[in-house]
Amino acid sequence: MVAAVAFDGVSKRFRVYRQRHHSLKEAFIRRRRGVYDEFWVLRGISFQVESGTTLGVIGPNGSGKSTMLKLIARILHPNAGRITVGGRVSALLELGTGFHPDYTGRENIYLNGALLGLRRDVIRARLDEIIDFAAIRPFIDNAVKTYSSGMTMRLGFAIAVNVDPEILLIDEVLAVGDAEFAQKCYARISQFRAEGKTIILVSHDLDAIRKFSDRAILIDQGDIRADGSPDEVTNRYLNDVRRRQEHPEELADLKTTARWGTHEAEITRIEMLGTDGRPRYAFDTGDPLEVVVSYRCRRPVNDPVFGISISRADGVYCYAANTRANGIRIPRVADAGTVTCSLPQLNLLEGSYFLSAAITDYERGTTFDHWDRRVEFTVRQKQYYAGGVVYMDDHWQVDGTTPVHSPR
Amino acid sequence: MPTEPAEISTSRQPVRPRVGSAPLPLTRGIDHTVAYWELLSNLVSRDLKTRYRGSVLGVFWSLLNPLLLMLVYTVVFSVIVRVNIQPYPIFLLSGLVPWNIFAQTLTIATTSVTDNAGIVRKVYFPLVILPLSAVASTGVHMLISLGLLAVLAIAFHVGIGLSLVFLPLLVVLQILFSTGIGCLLAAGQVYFRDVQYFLSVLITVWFFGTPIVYSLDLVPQRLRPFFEANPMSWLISSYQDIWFYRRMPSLLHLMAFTVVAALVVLVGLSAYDRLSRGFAEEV
Repeated sequence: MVAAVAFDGVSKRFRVYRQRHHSLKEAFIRRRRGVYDEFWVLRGISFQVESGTTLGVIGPNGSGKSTMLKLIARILHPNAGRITVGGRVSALLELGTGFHPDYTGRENIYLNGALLGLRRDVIRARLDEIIDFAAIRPFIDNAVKTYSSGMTMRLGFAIAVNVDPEILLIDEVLAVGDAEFAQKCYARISQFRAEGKTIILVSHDLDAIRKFSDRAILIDQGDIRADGSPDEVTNRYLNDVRRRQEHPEELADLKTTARWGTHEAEITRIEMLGTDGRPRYAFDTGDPLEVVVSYRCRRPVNDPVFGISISRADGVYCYAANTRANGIRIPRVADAGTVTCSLPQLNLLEGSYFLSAAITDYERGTTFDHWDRRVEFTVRQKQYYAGGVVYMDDHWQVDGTTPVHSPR
Repeated sequence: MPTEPAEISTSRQPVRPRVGSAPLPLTRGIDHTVAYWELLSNLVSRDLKTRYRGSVLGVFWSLLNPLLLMLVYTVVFSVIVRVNIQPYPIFLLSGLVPWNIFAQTLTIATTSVTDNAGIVRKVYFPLVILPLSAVASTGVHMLISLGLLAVLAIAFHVGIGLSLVFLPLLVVLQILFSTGIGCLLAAGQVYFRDVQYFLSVLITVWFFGTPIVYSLDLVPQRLRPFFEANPMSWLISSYQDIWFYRRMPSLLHLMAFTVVAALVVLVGLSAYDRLSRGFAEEV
């Protein structure tokens, strides 16, 4: 076996500054550069990726997946351990990084290509291929600042895959972009696999992990929790999340959460309840559930609107609903209370999701309180074998022959 | 398939294994060097193109700036204060032109890493390219202003002497010196954002502490040692020797500056190399 990437007891430590001394004066006075907490993003992990295979990497947010890719790409350096990389690496970490907004698409191809270590003559030879892949030929001589975000991303992807990498690192970039381009990206990845390139794929899309990976690892809190076939590892991940529902307090302090608003009315709690009326954070597609938003206000608030929204962990905006859209007008709320939204059937397909809630003003739309990505939950597909984000209750009919029912 | 087999140590060392990443194989290294050389030239041309974008006079500002300064200092020091150096404009410019380039290089180099935080965090490339591109793009300005200086030297009947054969050497030494200091400042700026403010004060003090608007003979004897100990005095007086006095620069100054420049560039590059491992996290 030839390893394309090998980690040997690799640890990485981050410092999270609570108070940062960016000035020399403070640093001299306090004798250090800030008050910080240290935490280990990766704790002595070891694994090898066989050359020519695809490794899927899954794990909850903040588990160290992206750090791992940055270590392989040599953007970050380990605090302990040894990393061996045998081949030219191209990293799709954030597409379009390093584009200069005032430059044309063509100029940016040269600039970005050089940044990725491509020689000018190589770029010139691949220029047409890059432009066609990104499908931006009519705009190639316009400044990149006039591009839509989709165009920028397509150009970024087109350049990065043309680096002709031996090892390709992909971090969740395929989730964004239109369907046609996503299809193109997947086709390109399949082609890379067929050419015997080594691919490391980080994704929340468990379906993609199962479809493309030869092997998968599960990272959680800086350790490798599972290493094996993609089916085994994705199931293990879903089971882990399931087990966590017994300890919902672990979900309470997610770093991704954000909150804003005037706080005239405040959200005090957001809960997801199963049919038994108990908190639950892992569901199967089709499960019924209730979302209970508890609020509090110091003074009575007129005409509030309560709303919830769901996005997938990779940022795909899935669903939003509110009382106003439902034809409900709430004249006045005072003190504290709860608002419940019942969903008879959760039509989301497999993946991990975030639930947000908000209270706004009916007329002016002022945000009283918006609690973004407050609750994380996962969905598993038990009996629906569909792909994508949402279950559509599809029925099929085939003319001219009698279809035979074959349960999967 | 990778052409080079990967080196893998199978033994798992519990106590402090070797830290770091394996170096790239040599063939790939050469290929990369070519590509990154092109990156450097890309960044320089990006810098030159964008610096004067939207300005009417464009690159002429790099000529106009020393000319205007020359006018101001000439009025102040040969009309009002009456420093007895003739022709004062050429004396002044022969030190002011290299000094301006030096100051400009340090200023741009200092923020070269923090200004490019976006790519430092997301893309792997040799980070030393960032301060180097600052040095290179001001180097282009230096060539333009030295041309201007030659034209003025002829116009003021000072002429151009054989002593100018030392010019390339002085330029190279200056580039080495500013590369070393620029790297230190750029790395410092990542960790302490007030390096750039400190630098602007330092440059002003250093400017007046270096014989540029005055000559070293005008400095009182008892203060002379402080001025003599300033490496930039050695460099600037060498420039004045070859342009204004049309004589060979002092061998002592030249050798001393060579030693200092070599030390500074070695220390600067190696400190930068070590500190740059943390840039992606800290910037």
